[in-house]
Amino acid sequence: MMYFYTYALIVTYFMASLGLFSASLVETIETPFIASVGTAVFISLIFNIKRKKPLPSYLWTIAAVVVLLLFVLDYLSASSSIITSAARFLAILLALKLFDVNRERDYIVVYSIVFFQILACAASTVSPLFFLILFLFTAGSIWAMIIYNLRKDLQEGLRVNPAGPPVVFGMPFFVTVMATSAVSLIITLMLFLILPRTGAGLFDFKTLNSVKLTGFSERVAPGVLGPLKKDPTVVMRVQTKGVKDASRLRHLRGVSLDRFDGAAWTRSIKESVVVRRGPSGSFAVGRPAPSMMELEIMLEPTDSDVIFAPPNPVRLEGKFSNIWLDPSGGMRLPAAPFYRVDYRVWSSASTAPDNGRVRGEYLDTSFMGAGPFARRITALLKVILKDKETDMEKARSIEAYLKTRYSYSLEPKKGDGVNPVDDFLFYSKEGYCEHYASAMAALLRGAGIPSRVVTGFLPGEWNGYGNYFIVREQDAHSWVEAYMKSSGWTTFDPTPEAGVAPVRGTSALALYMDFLRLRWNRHIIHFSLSDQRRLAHGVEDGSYRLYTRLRSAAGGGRAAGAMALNAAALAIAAFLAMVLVKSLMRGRPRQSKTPKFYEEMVRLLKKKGLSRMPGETPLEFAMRTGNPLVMEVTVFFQAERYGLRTLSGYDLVRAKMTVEALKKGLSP
Amino acid sequence: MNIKPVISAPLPWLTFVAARTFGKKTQAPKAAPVAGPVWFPRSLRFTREGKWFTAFLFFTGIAAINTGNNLLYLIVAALLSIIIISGFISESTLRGISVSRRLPSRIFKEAATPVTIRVSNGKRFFPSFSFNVQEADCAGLAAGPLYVLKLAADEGADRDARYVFKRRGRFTLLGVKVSTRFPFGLFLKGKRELVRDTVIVYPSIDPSNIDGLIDHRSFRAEGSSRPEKGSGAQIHGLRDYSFEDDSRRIHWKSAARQSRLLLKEFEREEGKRISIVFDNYSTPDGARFEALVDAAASLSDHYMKKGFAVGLKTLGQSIPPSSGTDHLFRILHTLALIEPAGPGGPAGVRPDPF
Repeated sequence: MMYFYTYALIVTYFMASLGLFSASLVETIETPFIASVGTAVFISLIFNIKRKKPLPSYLWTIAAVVVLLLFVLDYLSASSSIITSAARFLAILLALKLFDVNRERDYIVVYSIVFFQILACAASTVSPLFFLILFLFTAGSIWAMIIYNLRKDLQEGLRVNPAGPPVVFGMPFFVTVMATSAVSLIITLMLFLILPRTGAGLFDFKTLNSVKLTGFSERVAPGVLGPLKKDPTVVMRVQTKGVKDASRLRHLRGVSLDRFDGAAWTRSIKESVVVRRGPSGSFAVGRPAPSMMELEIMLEPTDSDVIFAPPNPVRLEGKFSNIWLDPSGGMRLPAAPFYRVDYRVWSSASTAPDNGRVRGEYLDTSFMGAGPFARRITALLKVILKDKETDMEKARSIEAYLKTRYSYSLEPKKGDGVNPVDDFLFYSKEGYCEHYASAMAALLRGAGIPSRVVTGFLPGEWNGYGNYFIVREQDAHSWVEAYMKSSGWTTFDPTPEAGVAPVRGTSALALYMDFLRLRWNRHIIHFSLSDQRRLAHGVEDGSYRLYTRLRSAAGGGRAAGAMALNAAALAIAAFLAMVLVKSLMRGRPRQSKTPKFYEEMVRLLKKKGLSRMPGETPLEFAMRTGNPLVMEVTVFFQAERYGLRTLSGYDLVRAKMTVEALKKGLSP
Repeated sequence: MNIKPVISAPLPWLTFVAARTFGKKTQAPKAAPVAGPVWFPRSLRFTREGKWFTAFLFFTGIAAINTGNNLLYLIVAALLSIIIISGFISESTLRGISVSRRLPSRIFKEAATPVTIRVSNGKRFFPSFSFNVQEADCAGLAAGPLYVLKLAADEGADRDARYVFKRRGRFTLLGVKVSTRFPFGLFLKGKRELVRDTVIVYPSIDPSNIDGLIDHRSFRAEGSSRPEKGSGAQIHGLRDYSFEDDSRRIHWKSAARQSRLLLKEFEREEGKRISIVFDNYSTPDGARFEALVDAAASLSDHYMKKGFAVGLKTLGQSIPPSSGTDHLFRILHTLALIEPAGPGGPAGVRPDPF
């Protein structure tokens, strides 16, 4: 039998380890810190197991004050986040408190510290591991609360100080605790869905661990995306409505750049318009089209204010106050969010002819100058555009030329060109997306076709578990948009396939884990009032459908009849289940009947071939057996059955013990 | 929002079915001890831990609403689920518990009275854990709670308790309160079980009550008693039967031995008869009156033990002297229920030998 102290210690250290685990999830808390606090906790465990003389309580108080001062200093100087400082403070406090657990109050203090650590963790993390922590914490709390409550009840009820817990703390108890925790988890999730949410999220956790996005600023020099091409950091997850949309999705547009100064691409067209939320709750950013592609994009916390969307966005829905829209269709938030952004975007599947006038910036060829670079370009264009009439033909031939004649390399050799485009086109003849895109844009302008360079992302890796794309840093891409008189701004991607479809080595397990993470982010972290609304509508629609079905079933018809039968069977089953549950819970007056101990004895004797004859009284039967133990049990039985009295605790125990003795005596 | 008729249509039916299924049956009305206009089937009180728990819950709840952080909502939901589970388990513990008590037939004021409490769990499958059984509030009764750690499904247990009745007279025990903090100790949930018992509590019998009240003349009479013939209970002797004698007094055994009719003669009882005179005028101090009642009871007991035939004379009634335990309890019963007869004279108790 385990002693109460051992129990308390196990639960306490279980909770303490949960506290440390949750502290480790708080960002910017480094592993060395957790390791050192963990060591202190471990030492306290040894200290408590050996049950050394408890340290005086005032020592703990002094230490706590010192740690509090350290916390204030830490917050003011080293750490910029109060959550981080608080998490550190709590971790140290926990380790200290574990050296001073003597009274019951001390244990409760430990659990409270762990609770606040979990709160700090909740305020600082978005990791799905939090769910595991919460579940274990709930289980631990249930465990601890039952044990402490029973101990208190025993102390008050029986006026004893139980050194060891009673037999109720066996394996069945543990199983009960786990089952209770599982039920609690289900209720938790149900409550989570129905707890009232405020309309707009007043808070979104700003992370310091945001993804650094390069290539989406006002100035992008060819070559900046190269180092990213090996970075597997996830930037966003893109969910499509069905496979059709998934196959149509080619590019996620970020920013477009119109001016090349010989060294880098910049955006010279600065004007943007503010788009405010419309009456339908969404932002209208383009002309509605008959065929639209719907995407849900879950953007990881980034340091960029760019909203990524497929070309030709029409409508946008998200928790933003307003967005900035530039004439090229690029969208930006008012500021870099540093938190996870979840939005839906609808974009037109086909490009509509743009009747507007094309601005001169898109035809600017000043970067070519009048030197050898311009001459080389003109010569090359002559070769490529031979016999090409329309703009579309010209653009396609340039795209094809670059795709086939140049080799894809993430580490292009340095040539003797006057600028990176010159270098790529005429010297090294190798490069990656940016070189291809810059070169194509330059060639298009040389050919008199308005063009711009666009940076963004390729759809990335398809995750079949959740039917979404995982877009990573390495999927950052650059391509070209050219203005066609017939169809408006059209996308061209001159990069060869080698650069567009990188080799993936993601295991099925990793994909599945990513899917779980998506689910967590989508359904827990970003659960909102609109989700609740959707859920309520779902329930409403479901019940309405059921109602109409039942009503039509009542009206007649064979199929409807079968449905009605099903519904009736379901209702009857539900009713029976309800009655069963109720009868299980219902108390009923106890009837006088043969006590269990006597029944057990009769069973034992029957095994030995002794059973009561018809007409024989219990006492006669007992005398026939000639066993004094049988006699004794029979006397107890008669007292209970016919003596109009119920056996008191002592007699009952005695009767049961006699039956036990009989069992031992009878067994060979 | 577009409210479709389905939402409202089945509701009255659902309510009807639910009421029929879960509602209380009206066929078996219970005389509930209605304390106020509203009587709840369960009482619920926060424990200290429960208050802290709820404070944490509110704190987290406010933080969640304030920040819209869903993980905080998740914590709030977890804490709420613990409260809900606590409600279910405590309900399961209290359900089906029935209590009955066995009181001794004779109960004295301020004496520890052994009472057997039978607690039964009528549930078919679920055991009940860690609950207290306590007498519902009853003025003048001190009864500590009785603790039951575990009661398996469909089992009963007898527990011995000690009750102390602080006053004499009629007590109506209305019921017991079954309460539990199980499982988490956050709430103290209780229910009332109606177990009605009416008992008469006799005044306390204590020799110290009668110091200075014993009439020594009666003892003198007892010491120098020379038995004389009379109509008492003790046989004085035998004599020959004469026709004017009552034939029921013939001692048949002796008559058979001696072949003549012999008559039993009895001792006189005057020397061992005493009446306790209780002038039950009201006293300014209620405690003084109670002390007199106790004294009268203790005197009755005292003389009865000494072999006297004891009677009781109060202002309102008179019990002729007689002996035997039953007679003593007749006197005690009268004393248990005696009330002050109003002012009019000095209250007092004295033995009055014949």
